[in-house]
This record gives sequence, structure tokens and C-alpha cells, in this order.
Amino acid sequence: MNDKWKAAFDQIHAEEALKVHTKEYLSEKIYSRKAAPHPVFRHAVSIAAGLVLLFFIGGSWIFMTPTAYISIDINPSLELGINRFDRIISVEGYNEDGDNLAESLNITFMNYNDALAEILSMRSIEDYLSGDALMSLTVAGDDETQYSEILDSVENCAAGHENIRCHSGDTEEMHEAHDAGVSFGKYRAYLILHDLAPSISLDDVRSLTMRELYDLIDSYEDQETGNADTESDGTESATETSGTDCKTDGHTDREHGQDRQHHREREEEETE
Amino acid sequence: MRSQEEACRAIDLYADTVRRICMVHLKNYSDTEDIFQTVFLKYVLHTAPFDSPEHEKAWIIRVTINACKDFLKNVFRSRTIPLEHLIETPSAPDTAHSDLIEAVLSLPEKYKDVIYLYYYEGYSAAEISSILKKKVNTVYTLLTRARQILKKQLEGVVDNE
Repeated sequence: MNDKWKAAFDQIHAEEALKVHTKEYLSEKIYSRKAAPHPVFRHAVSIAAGLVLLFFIGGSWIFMTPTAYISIDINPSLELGINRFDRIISVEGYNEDGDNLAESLNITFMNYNDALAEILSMRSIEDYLSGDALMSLTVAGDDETQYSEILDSVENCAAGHENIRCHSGDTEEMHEAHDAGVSFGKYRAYLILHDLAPSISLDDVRSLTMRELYDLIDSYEDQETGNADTESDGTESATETSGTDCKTDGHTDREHGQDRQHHREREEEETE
Repeated sequence: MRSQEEACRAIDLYADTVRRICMVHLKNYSDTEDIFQTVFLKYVLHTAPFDSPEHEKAWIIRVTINACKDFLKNVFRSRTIPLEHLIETPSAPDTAHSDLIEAVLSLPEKYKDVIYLYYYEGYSAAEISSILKKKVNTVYTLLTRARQILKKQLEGVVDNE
């Protein structure tokens, strides 16, 4: 054989890139296909991935949607949003003190019982409660079962404390309260007060502590029941309460005028 | 189907041979890549065992030659001119003995294989006949005619065996 032929063709070699590309092609075309699942399974994989995604989105939506609320009002007004798994998912302050308290709390995703216990054991809250302050715990929720469960445990929680009052609210009131920019615990107290003294506006009570609010309510209630007694006593108590931050001046007289008329009617009935 | 290891071994072992046959027949690199893929894909899918390494090599050569022929027969290809063809002229590598390789490249298609197999791979006319599925006498005729053409182009390069 001619050496020249050998020498001529021996110079020709397959480029490394050519070999690499061929190997890559084969592993892609043949060997990866072996590992790759059947198209039907591939669809199943994407469907499963979609379901997982949907599950996560739906799950997080379900988890992150509050179904019940607890409004905690002393002077700080705080609202806890509770999801259907009884976990705290939102902590919102409704006044400056409330904002400060919300910032200092780390109760997100905690069970509401634990969260309440933690709040009640806080030094600042203890300070409030050991003083003359009044704590109002108001529960609202759409789910009846969850709502009553929460109310029960809130009542249990409050049982050890004299100056904690528990109330039940409803979500409609809550939305009205939020529109007005107050917590629904305070709004509920305002509504009670408003029933007793319609002249009092929400702005009048916005800055009051719960103790002041309930004192005001008590005084109006006393005043109503005290109507059977002397008129002057009732007026005195009303003026006393109007001596607080609440701007009820100018309105109390009208209130009392109505009361007096009411009282006179009652007396006439009695004499008949 | 052959394993990936077998495929890699075959590529490493026969890449040069396939490359030389491609060089003889084809004009550009991308076509060569196509032939490489075709040949080694067939190798992977060819499950019948080979009697010997020689048998395997002959099979590779045969498949490569057929793939090149199929490629050249392609209707689309026969009616179009690849862009690379216009840009770069296909040629033998610019090395020593390039005259010889250029002479082989300039041969009509039907003579290229017999010349390559006979002079470079060292196959006998009988072996070439079985690889190319042609009669031995046909191989002899092709060899004789090819030699005559080459002789005209390259004086003294081809031995008269």
C-alpha cells in the first residue's frame, strides 16, 4: 500500500467538537428519552404541578383569610385576625398605643389562646390591669362554631381577671367600626353609649380609654335608673361624667329634659 | 439498543474513519455532523452482534457510505446550494499531500469509495465488494478507471498494483 495515501488520510481526524456533539445528540435523542417519562405521564406531571400550585395558592388563601376577630381594647386598641385554623394571622393597632403594642407583639401564626395568654402576661398590659384600667375583649366572626369557641375561651381567659369584660360583636358592626377607623370593641361600646345618649358622636369617644367609656355608660345607665329618684341626682351624675374628655356639654340638658318628661309620664301612670 | 458507554466507545474508535469518508463525499462541516448523528444513531439502534472488530468497522464504513449517498441524493439538497458552499470552497485540508486528497475529491462519486477503501483502509477487492455490495469485477473495473483518472492528475502518486 502506498505510504503516501496513508500519510494523506492519516492527517484527517474527527474534530473533538464533532465527537462531543454526536455524543450529546445521542444522549439527548436516545438516552434521555429512556429516562424521560411517557408523554401521558409528562402531562400528568404538569397537571400535578398545576394542582400543587393551585393547592398552595388556595391553601395560602384559606390560611391567610381571617374568619374571626378579637378586639382588645384598654386604651390601646388592637385587633387580632384569626383564620379558620385558630391561628393569628393579623395584628392591627387602631390607635397609637395599639400600634406600639402591635409592634412589640410577636404572635403571628400563634394559636389565639396562646396569643391571648401572652398578651395578658405582658408587663404593659399587667400594668394597665393592675391599675384601674378596663380591658374589653370583643369577639366577632362569621363562622358560628368557631365564633362561639373563641368566645368561650376568651371568657375562660378573662375569668381570672376582674377588670376584663368579654363581649360578642358581629362582623357587620366590625366593618362599620373599621370604616370609622376604630376597633370594633370600642365601636361596640360607643354604640351602647350612643343608645343611652344619642348626642354623643364617635369622635367624642375616640380618644377615651375603655374605663372612661364604660364609666360613661355606667353613669348614663345609672342616670336612667336614677330617674325614679330625684332629678337633681341624675343631673349631677351626668355633669360629672361630662366633666371627662367627652364633650357632652349642651346636649345633656336636652337629654335630661326628655328624661324629665318621661319621668312625669311615669308618675301620672302611677297616680292613675 | 446499545448502551451509552458502547456508543461513546464506538464514536471514539470510528470517528476518524467516518470523518474521512465524509470528507471524501461531503462539502461542509454541518453535513458531516448530520452524517455522524445518522451513523452513530444507527449503530446504537443496531442490536445484532458483530462477529469481530473488523466486522464492526466494515459495518460502520458501509453505513457511513450509504448515509453519504442518501444525503447527496436528497432532493432538497440537489436543488439548492448550501450557503457555506458559496462562502468557503470545500477542499482538502491545507496540509502535505493535499494534492492527493484533492485529486480524490475531484473524482466522480462512484470511484471515491473504492479508492479510499483500497488505498487507505487496505481492503482487498473482494472485501470492498462485500462492503459496497457490488460484484468483485465491478470493484476491479472501478478501481482501474479511478486509477487512470488519478494517474492523469498525479503522476507517480498511485502505484500500479
